[in-house]
Amino acid sequence: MLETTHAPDTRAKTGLWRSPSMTVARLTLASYLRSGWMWGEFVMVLAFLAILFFPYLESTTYFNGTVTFSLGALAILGPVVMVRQATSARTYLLLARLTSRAAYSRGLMIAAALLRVPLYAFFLALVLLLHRLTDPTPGPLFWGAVGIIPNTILVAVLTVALCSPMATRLKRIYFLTWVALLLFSFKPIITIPTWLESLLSVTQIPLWPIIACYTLSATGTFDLFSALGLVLVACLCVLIALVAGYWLEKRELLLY
Amino acid sequence: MAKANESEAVVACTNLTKTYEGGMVALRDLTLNIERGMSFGLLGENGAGKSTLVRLLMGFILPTKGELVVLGERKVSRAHPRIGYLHERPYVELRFTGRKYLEYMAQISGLWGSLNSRRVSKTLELVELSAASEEKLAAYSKGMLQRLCIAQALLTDPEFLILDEPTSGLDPYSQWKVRQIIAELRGRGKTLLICSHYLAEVETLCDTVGILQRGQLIRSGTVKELIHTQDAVEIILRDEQEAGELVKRLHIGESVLETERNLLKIRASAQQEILAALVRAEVAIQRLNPVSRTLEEVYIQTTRAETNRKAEASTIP
Repeated sequence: MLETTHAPDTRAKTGLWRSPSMTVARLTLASYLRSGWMWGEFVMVLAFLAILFFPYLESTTYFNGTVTFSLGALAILGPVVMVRQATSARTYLLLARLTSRAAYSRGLMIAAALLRVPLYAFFLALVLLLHRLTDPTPGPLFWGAVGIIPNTILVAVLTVALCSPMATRLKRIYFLTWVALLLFSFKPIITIPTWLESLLSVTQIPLWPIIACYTLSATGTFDLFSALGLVLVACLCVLIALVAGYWLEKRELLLY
Repeated sequence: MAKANESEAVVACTNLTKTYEGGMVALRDLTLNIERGMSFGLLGENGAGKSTLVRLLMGFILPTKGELVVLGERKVSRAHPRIGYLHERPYVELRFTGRKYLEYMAQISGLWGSLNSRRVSKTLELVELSAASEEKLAAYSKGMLQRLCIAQALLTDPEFLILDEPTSGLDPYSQWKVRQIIAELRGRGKTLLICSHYLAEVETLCDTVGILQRGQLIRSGTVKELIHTQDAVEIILRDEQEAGELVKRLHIGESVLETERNLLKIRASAQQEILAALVRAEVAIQRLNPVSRTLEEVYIQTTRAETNRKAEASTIP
């Protein structure tokens, strides 16, 4: 029969790689890969390449600018599919092994975030191999990557946090309300009093780190503003992970 | 069931109530203790609250009212490494091989390296899936998947096992095999909670049972108590004496429940009086047995009686 060592005694405490969150992330990625959906994301990159870079050659600035949005869109679509796949009744068996449900949501976020790196690398490799850039200099491409990847990771992490079972429908509605107000604050479709416009501009504050990273990728100039932006994006990711973990801990899990 | 000291009990529920959104009460004031080493069978029709109780015990849902302590932990998820859980359906990641899946599950539980592979191999061996361990789970039969799920529940050698419908929908061989595994676990002193619709299985595998109906524990006790608690005794007369004739001759018809050839079934309360009458009449007795019922009979009688009681109560103005 089995050795009579109990689980708590055998729990490995040897670093991040062996943490439950990381194991959940590896399991999620392995499952996503085997399901074929991961390849779907790479195929989407091919589609973006065809739409954005053919038939004309483009500049590195154009690449950095468009990739932020195309990979940003993929950072919404991919994690939605990934979370949908990873949260069914079979999740009960995983959750039954974890002392904290937050480890599960963190694992999903790590999986969704990690995948952003090869997707960016794939896009960049295609563009370079197919000679679609007029000025493929290493500097702007490097700073472009430094600005783009954190932004797409943030979008992926936020998407996971807003998926069920982490967020409730009501929370998603609140988020969409914020998005609506944010868009309205940029370009009101009706004339509104100045004080209301100023008030609505408050909704833009959380966007500031994203803008900093976007500016870094677009200009290729690393300064204090962009450094602060990178730090804040990292802090936002951690904050979102903590909040999503808290939400998941508090939720009634009825998975089918 | 008597309320035990919480530290001794693997599960201690006190006035546990669960109301789902929309007001559906799934469990109502449930007080239940499962002691260490006990093999507890949870019975009840669909919708009785069994799955709700299991979800509460695993911390997947939270109680609306009352207290729940599992393995000494009020925050149930803290006890997860010491619990083995088998879901009511064998939902697993079908794209992996049996071994790969178990390896991941063991890693999530903190088992790495050689310990991981040893545990995986041992559990595969235990559930007789070693030969199929490199096959994709999509190719497994339902019985094989169920055995694999049992294997994942045993990976950490847990002290408490929650087995929700362990043999549901399996072919006879797989059912037998799963029962063998459970019997072995019971023999090793593991605390078991088995939810099942197969009453004969519960009768064999459990020492204590609880019957849930509409969220309430309507009966609980040891299997022995339940199947022997019937107000009837069977008397078998020697020399093929006709029981019916004897009843007429001795005028003991009031206390007799049934006669059949040399068998006399009487009320237990009248046992002394009837035995005295038989001795006086010099009737030879071959055997006297308290009447045992099957758990199925106990279950049907208990649930019907409760339904009737509630129906009567609701008609009283």
